[in-house]
Amino acid sequence: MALLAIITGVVWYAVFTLENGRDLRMVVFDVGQGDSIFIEAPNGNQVLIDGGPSNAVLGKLGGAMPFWDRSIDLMVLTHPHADHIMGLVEVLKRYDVGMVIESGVNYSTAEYRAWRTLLEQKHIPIMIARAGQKAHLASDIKLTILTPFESFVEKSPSNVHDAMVVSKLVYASSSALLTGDAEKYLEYRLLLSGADLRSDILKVGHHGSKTSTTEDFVRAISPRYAVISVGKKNRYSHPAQQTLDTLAKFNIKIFRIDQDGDVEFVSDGSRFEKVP
Amino acid sequence: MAGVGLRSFVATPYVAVCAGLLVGCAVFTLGVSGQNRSRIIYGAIIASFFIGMLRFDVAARPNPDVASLIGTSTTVRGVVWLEPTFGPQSQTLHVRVLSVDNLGVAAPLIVRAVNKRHPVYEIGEELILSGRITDPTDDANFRNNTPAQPPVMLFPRIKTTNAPNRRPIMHALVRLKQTFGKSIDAALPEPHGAFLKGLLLGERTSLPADLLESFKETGTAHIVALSGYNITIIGRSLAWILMMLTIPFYASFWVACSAMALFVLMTGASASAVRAGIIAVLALIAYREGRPYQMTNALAFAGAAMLVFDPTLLRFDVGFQLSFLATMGLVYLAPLLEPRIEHASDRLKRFVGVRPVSRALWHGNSETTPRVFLTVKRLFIETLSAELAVLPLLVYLFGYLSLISPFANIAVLIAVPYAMGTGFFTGLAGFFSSVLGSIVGVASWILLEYIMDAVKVFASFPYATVELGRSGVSLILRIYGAAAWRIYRKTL
Repeated sequence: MALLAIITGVVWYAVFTLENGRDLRMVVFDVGQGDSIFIEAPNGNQVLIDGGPSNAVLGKLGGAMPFWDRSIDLMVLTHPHADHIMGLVEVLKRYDVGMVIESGVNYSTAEYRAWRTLLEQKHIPIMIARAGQKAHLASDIKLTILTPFESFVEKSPSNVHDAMVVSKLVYASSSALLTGDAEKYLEYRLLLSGADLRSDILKVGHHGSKTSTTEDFVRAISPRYAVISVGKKNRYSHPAQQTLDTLAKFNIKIFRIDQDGDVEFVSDGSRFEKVP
Repeated sequence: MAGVGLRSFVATPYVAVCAGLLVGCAVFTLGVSGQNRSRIIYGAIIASFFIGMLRFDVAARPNPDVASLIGTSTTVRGVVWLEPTFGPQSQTLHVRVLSVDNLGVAAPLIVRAVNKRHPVYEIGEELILSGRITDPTDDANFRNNTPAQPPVMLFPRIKTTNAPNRRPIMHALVRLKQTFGKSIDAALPEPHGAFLKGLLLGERTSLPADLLESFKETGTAHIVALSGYNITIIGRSLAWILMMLTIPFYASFWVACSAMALFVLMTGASASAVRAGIIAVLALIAYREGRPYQMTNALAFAGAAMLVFDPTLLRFDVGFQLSFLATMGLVYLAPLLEPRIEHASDRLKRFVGVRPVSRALWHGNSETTPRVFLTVKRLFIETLSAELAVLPLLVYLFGYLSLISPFANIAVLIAVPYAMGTGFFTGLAGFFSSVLGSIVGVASWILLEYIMDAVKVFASFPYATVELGRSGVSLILRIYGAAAWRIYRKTL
């Protein structure tokens, strides 16, 4: 009897978790000082953009995904800095990953070597990101790659932030701009490229550092919400007051993972809304 | 033990210790020659007291090489001596130094190196580390009541020497443990996987910080530490599997014993693991002999054996102190508490007006009472007595008191053995096929989820913990004194 009851419980749990998804879901995980963004389309396709500085992302994924689900369809590495790649290496070890998008930039750290080795071992297809590519998550949901404009394969730019994979998540008329650690230089190149930047949500670049989030850039995006992924008491004193002021000037509602924890948004296609 | 204890607080001149030792030996020999039993025993007690003091002196003498190294930038060649431990972003290596700047080191010298998570080093690997050696007491997290810590190198430059592994047996054991861990990782999501590894292997480094905090607040953190209890469960279930496979009891007993010994080695043979291992093996022996397991004797034996190897434990190892106090609580306080709790519950019931039926339930002859009820009662008495015993030390160390703890422990401990059992099978099944592992994993996932949710719920109650500060200790001791006096007067 007890066994039957448990099985019934599990089945109902499964039904409810599967039934729940009518909306596009985007969660900015609280992984401390670092970036990690999880996206789930209504059809169950899952994307993970960056993994934060530690293995904390594993616990977050365990909570965000049903317990039997061990696969992620698409993984995006914006750039190979430790606060973005470390968690992805841990995820690669444990999950079946369908495909990886990265810039292919040359960067010699132990983490990046571990990442490359794992990709090779597991035969995971890698797509080198270039502006204009689109990953279709569902019929009307796509992840559009906005940068890099040129190939960085085996190149070593003086600032690895310039080889950033910036992308835009679009579901019908709702959208979110995911900037990674893009700095001013890239922001202005994006403005000049004529790409459609308008978005409901801005993932603020480079943890709110003053190297990013210029006024012109914010004006072009004109988001309603901004999310800053910063760790509590981080040693860089992110976010910069200057960045907060710029965002405040446009009356943008700011969420910070160091204060708000995981920040989750859902969209039914018309607009993104914050999940309380 | 008393000798070690006294010596750790009071510096004693050698002459006095030696004189005392001589007196002890003299009394002992007099006793032997005069056939006087009490003299033999007293002589042995006095002698062992002073031997204890000497033993502490030998251990506490600082390593002459360490002081001269601190503050210098050096190149050190050494072997990764223990299994590297991983923090969320770092890995810590305990390196046994072979040479410093190409000069050999005579005495065994350990350097703790904190490094990035990647690349991952393995136990037994020979490394060359260059960097500054610092005093561990400079660390802000350093607590004053810990014994001499090895000097630290923070983020040194590390090269591997490609020498053959220096600890091949340990390396193989650790590998085995890691494979077991991986098969758990494959079957369960996080944080369930990390929690199960905490239950089975006593690893708590990969547990999410907020979860660990909830465990501490509800006084249930002991379940994710290696204890005699964990190892006994693992040993018993192994013996059980072997007996199911119709292997004779005698053989499965020895296999289980050696498995537990290997398990202790595998987890790095830390102080707590060794103590747990000794207790677990004694429990299994008692089980084989069909004799009631004498906790006091086992505990005294385990304690004495460990202090011979490392006398600094008594004064400095909090885990050592806590688990000894807790076990003493189980042995001495539980029999005192049991009749009183029954008495109190009777009075409560009469007050509320419950019918005699439930009275029969509580007093329980095993035929009419549901087993769950008896288990809850037993767990309540056990946790309460263990807790009362460790309470003064806990308040002294951490300054807060967990009011919710007895209830949280009952809710959690009911499920723990089953979670461990199913978890152990999940890991084993994963060795054969990952699909099989995931199927068995569903059962352990449910149990683990229940435990974690229960802990979180209990931790979220208001006034779950009360700040007392160190002054709380004297208050508690005074209450204990009064209670002891009342019990003493009643028994007269």
